[in-house]
Amino acid sequence: MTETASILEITNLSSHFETAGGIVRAVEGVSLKIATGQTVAVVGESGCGKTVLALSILRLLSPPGRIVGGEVLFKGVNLLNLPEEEMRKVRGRDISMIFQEPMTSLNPVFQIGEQLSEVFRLHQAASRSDARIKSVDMLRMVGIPSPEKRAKEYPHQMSGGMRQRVMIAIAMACSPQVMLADEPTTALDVTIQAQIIDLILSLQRKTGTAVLLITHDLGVVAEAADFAFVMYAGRIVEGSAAKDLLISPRHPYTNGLINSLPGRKTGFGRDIFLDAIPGMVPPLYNLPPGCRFQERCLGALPICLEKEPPLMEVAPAHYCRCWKN
Amino acid sequence: MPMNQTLLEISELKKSFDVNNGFLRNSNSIIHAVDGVTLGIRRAETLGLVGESGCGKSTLARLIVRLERPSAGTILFDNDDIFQLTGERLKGYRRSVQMIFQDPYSSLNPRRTAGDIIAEPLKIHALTAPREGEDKLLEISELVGLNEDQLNRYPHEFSGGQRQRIGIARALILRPRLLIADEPVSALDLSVQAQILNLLKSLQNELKLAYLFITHDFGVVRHMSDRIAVMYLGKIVELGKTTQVCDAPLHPYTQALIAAVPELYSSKTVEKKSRANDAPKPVAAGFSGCAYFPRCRYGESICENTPPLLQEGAGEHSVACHKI
Repeated sequence: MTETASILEITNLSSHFETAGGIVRAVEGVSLKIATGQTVAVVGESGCGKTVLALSILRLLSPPGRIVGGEVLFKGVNLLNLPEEEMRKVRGRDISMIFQEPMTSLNPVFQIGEQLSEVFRLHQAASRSDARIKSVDMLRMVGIPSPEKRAKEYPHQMSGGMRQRVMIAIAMACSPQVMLADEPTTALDVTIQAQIIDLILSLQRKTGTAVLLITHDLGVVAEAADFAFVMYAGRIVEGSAAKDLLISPRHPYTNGLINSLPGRKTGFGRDIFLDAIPGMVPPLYNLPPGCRFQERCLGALPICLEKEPPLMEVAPAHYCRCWKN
Repeated sequence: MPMNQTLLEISELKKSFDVNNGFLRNSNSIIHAVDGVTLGIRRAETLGLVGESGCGKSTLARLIVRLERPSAGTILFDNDDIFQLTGERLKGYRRSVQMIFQDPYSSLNPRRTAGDIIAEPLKIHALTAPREGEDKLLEISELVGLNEDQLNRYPHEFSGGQRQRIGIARALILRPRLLIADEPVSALDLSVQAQILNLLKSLQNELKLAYLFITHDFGVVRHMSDRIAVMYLGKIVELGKTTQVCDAPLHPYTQALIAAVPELYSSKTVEKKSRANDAPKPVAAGFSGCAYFPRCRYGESICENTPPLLQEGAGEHSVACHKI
């Protein structure tokens, strides 16, 4: 995708869940690369497999979920082959993750400072007092006012935005080379969302951390991402430079998502309707034959019902999984 | 505003809650969730209500449907004070004003079928004979896009969007005149959100409904509303036609809210100058100035001492700010 060497390269990754209803192919043959300093967005609606993708990268998928194929190369090393003990060192130090819900991903019975200190103590063998000092520094860096005082507070004493800042502080504590951000702003108000995005970007400019940004919000993609991939029912259906993807989408699903955004049409009034995508995402254990989007696609061709299209390069560095291109 | 146009008239409405911080109750404080709101909802219009979490917009909705009692102020519906209504007249009001909720997962009874849930208001209000009720149920279900055999299913068998359709059908079966929609699409995926917004619009056209549309999403409110009210810490700070509020916002808070919405075609380097840089700060007790003063970039000494009043300017565009 770019000339720069990628720090994280995912090739042909598939993760499935074996359930009573059948095999749920949550992630199917996903390939993408991220270089240092880049932000790559993975966009999609609930159930498209974007979170499972992030969990698979860190090998945090729990049964019945299972990685069934592919590679996750971090600086050339396949993480999927590492012994669990080595993998644990990678998590939080080299690759960290922030989650959507800052309320539930912080431990309610420990002080903020203590939860941050843990990272330094585990990964850098810092002493208790050193870890304390470093924690306060991290809180200051993510823009938490009076960090010495806030370090002694518990998660419930903080607002959603502040908690997400703490999550970012924990994720950035060891200056990781890659940060996976799973819907980091979804639970927040727009004003706070804007602050958190700005914070992630400014930290990234300082540290060069590559960010894999998982989101359903196209506006966030426009603001933050260099490259963007759209996932639908476990598959990447389109990928290109973020701007390119938003300005000239090639896949009917991407196009449909952009047209579903309210408030972009010129004019107001009762007769202005959105061009919604009909139907809903098919259950992943019972996918339609051919293209996974065919049932909702307004321009489906006979071939779309029979054969799933491959991801094709439809313009320079613009990939799309659609027969109509 | 001419009387005949107004369906619901909120005047100087206040609601405060006592909060006990600390279990020894040594630090009582009072939260003014709704702090002197005056607002009218006109017949068959959509009034959008925007604001961040905690600004009091849901409390206002709960007051309108009489789930809360106000600390002061009145709400008139068809010139009747709704807090004075009792008996049959209260029931009549409840028929006229219905509500749909944000979370389609927790607002439906998991042990009842979709059909039972939708038809329950008919039973409570004992409006129809059973046979007729059945017809009404089918009619309303078709209107919201649910088919007959889906009515025998339970909520967990539906997707989020379908559940929201059940919630809408339940609210509409009594043919209300005002529908309060509290963040009705914020829990939904984009493609489903678009379907539900389209549904709400076409229902409004068909049934001549008035909506109070509560949301924190400027895109949604711009798309849905005829007029928009912006709420901040319990007060209406700006009120106007959708074009006025979205395209020429006057209040610094409205400007900050709009600036915070990520733009689809902006670049990652664009710095947003008018973005607010912190969270809402509840003002200290006894503070008598503008509630937005601690966050405002234009604040002056008058803002610190005198609360600005909502004043109507050109073309029914009102704003509460000393700088305008």
